[in-house]
Amino acid sequence: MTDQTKQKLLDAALKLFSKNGYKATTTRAIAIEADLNELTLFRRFGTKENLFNEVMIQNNERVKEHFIKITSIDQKFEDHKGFLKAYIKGIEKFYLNDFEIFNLMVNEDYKEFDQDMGEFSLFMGEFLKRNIKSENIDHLALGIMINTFFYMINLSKYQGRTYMGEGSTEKFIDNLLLCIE
Amino acid sequence: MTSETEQKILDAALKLFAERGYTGATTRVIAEKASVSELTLFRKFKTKNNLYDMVLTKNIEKMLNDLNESVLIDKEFENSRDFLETFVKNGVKAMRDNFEVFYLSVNGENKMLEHMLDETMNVIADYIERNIPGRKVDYKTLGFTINSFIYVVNLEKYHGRTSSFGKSPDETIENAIDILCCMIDH
Repeated sequence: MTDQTKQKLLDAALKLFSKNGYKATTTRAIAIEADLNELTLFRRFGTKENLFNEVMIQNNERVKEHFIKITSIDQKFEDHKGFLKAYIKGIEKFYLNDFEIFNLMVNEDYKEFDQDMGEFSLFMGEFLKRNIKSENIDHLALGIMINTFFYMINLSKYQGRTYMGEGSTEKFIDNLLLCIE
Repeated sequence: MTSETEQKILDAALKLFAERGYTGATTRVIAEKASVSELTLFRKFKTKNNLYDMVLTKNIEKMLNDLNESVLIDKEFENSRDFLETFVKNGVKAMRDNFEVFYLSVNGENKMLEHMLDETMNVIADYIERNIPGRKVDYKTLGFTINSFIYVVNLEKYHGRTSSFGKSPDETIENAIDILCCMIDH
């Protein structure tokens, strides 16, 4: 089997697992989505559970890649506003391209996520501490508030809702700056 | 008025729809969980689709009720910190008590729910502004920020994950409240 075929199956699985949940997604539906034979799926992955695990492993890698990109702006900004805008741009980009990854991670009972996400949260907290010089806030909580805000904004878009409207990012940044300027 | 049997079916359906999605939750498993026969389920609710609609309608009604009674309370707060702390903590509890229906609302494609969610965000924004007026903060965005945070806190709890925030959920909530206070009273 080629890498391309394997990736097609992983992509299809991610899309459907994220949209319908692990339990409701069938290997048949995944094969159809990937435009492949169900036999091919079983030959390569064995079981639905195994396919799910491989999706999650790849997801983890992608999140790490994004994290590296997002934190490439480390200590490159003098002002908080500039930093926040660049940081949030990175987060928005992540959700624009890979919303399904994070959505799947939070919605499934995936035990490894607990520890993985915990480590990720701590890293983000340290990163924000280096770049936002503000003594009266907890940077870990700040990172979580930012991430959850953009997760929900993008969840709305993913589900075809637009109720927060345009300009929500700017307003969010302005709200944050009230605290950290 | 819902009979006891209908309520058992509705409760079981809510749990299973949230857990497995609409397709994944079969009428057979729902009936089993409710300790009734599938025949009874269909007699009372006619179709699975109808059952789903009833589950949403009744539980959204309960959720909005809880929101009004337990979160959007009219009282004198000592200061903005007192208000925010009370508001967030009551919000966490109300969402926990109504988690499954909120989860279904935000994770489903449903135009009716979109309107309900939008309206609710407006009501929340107005409530916050009434209690801490005249601040430079954008109230609707603030409300959405708080709501998003509360949702994910509850989502982690729903999945039994306690480490995903790095610190304990309770500590994270306190720290988030500090940040909100900071925004309000900068």
